[in-house]
Amino acid sequence: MHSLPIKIFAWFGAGLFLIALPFFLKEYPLHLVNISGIWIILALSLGLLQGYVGEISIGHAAFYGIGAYTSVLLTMKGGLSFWLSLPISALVTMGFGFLIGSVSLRLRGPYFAICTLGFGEIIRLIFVNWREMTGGPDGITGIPSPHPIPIPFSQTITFTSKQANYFLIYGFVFLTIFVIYRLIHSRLGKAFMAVREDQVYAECIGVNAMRYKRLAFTVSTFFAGVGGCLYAHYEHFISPYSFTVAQSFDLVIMVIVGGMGTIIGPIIGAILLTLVPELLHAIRDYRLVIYGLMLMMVIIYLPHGLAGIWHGISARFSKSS
Amino acid sequence: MAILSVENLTKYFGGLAAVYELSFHIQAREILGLIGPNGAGKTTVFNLVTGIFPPSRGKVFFNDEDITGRKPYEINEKGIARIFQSTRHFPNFTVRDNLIAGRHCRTRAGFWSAVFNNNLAQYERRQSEERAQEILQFLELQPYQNELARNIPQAMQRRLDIGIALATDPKLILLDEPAAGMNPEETYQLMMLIKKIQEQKISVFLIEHVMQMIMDICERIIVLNYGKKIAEGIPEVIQNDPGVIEAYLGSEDFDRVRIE
Repeated sequence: MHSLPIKIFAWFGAGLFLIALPFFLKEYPLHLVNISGIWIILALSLGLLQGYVGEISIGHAAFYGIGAYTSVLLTMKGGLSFWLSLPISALVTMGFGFLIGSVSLRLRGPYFAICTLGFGEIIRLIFVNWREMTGGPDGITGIPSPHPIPIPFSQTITFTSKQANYFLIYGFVFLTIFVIYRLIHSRLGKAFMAVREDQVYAECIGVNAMRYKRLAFTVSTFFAGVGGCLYAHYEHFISPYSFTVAQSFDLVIMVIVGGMGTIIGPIIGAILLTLVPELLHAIRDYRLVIYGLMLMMVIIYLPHGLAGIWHGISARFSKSS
Repeated sequence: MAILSVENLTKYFGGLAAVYELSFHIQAREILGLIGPNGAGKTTVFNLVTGIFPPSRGKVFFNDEDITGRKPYEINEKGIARIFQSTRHFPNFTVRDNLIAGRHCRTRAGFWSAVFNNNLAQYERRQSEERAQEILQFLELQPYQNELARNIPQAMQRRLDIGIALATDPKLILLDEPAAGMNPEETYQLMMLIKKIQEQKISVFLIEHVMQMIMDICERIIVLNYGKKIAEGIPEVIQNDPGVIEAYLGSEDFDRVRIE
């Protein structure tokens, strides 16, 4: 009976904490928080596909890259405002996602994963070799910050500070959470999970499996595009090395370690895998070894990821009470 | 009026004719039995009708509409539901969520409805919930509604399979050995259930090895052997058909199976 006020109190506290956070953190920790935010968007978007539809894509970083490069070209060569290039670059990424998804989602399981790996590599090679547009391996520098928003009778909101970018990035984190939450709690989410559990059976009870897999992939690539655009204008520099297979694998690991089939899982995974290598500089060279070990441990001992620990505890708690 | 007509249906797997030149029809509100020895091609007929794979030759008509070679989800939407030979549902969903999954083809809310959780999405959610409750009541599954499907007793899982099929609002339901693994009491309950389904103006197409059940509830029976129809008619005729007895047992003690 006490649970409702406590819940409201907890949400209120969490909200206050998130609003106050950027004003207490120093430059570098805040930078890490912002980068985590971008990875949260990416991991959540991949988590929709991986956790709810049950297909692992190893090409997600390529879509992240498409979003970044599209927005940079639109603002720097096309002269567009960031606020226009953001939706356009996300939509362009989504268009690529639709096309590639339509082809590759005909395959399933490991074959789909290998296919996305291939598409990811093709896109990365385009970033490296299309020098006139992408600057080749040197990347593109001097990317502008998001353009200031004028407010009548007052100053403008500028996005040069880390604080302002914090609110911008986490605004999109919440948008991503909101859309994915609503999606998986609708009939579409049921259809995604039905396909994950048993595709042939799902089709026999009226679920057009291909259509829903493609929908999930398209939505997933849309948010990858948003993440890429935010990243480019936050870091002011992009190069093909930010969008390689290694980043794609990082994302897959984030979702698995955090917990597949949950929303909190990819968030935990993204924060953990962004902060840990930064905080423990000494182990940075052994990053992949540690990730490999971590992945094995999680798969063996925590099949539901870190989010599964919490679910396990709360289930035990509610049973005993 | 025939709700389902099958004309010259043929399916080859390599050189083997699993189903050969099969023609039959199902009347509205009829219970039609399909029997035959193991490997006669009964389940293949179901797979052809529900679009799991296309036939090599022949046509399937549902309500006079040609549905040959259509996708399983299209055929389901037109009103043919099926249960599988082995228990098949979503074991990691709750019983209620399984039924709501069955409502998918009767709801329309798309991406934007879902994101904004608009009136359509809310209305359909309530409707699905109500229909799921009706089915839970009809199948006497309410006590299990919040259990994961994999945790409920086997006989209840079979009921759930039928429930999911009913949740898609079918005109015709195909049951592939629904009594497999059931004791006599559970089999009897299942027979009553099939009769109740028929009363809801749903035609039933039934594969079953429990002869008592087939003989008791089917209005007509088709007998398959090596993919070919060897007999068709009312239960009394089938029981005494020498060709059927020969094919089924290779001997004359058909009675033993019937009593079993």
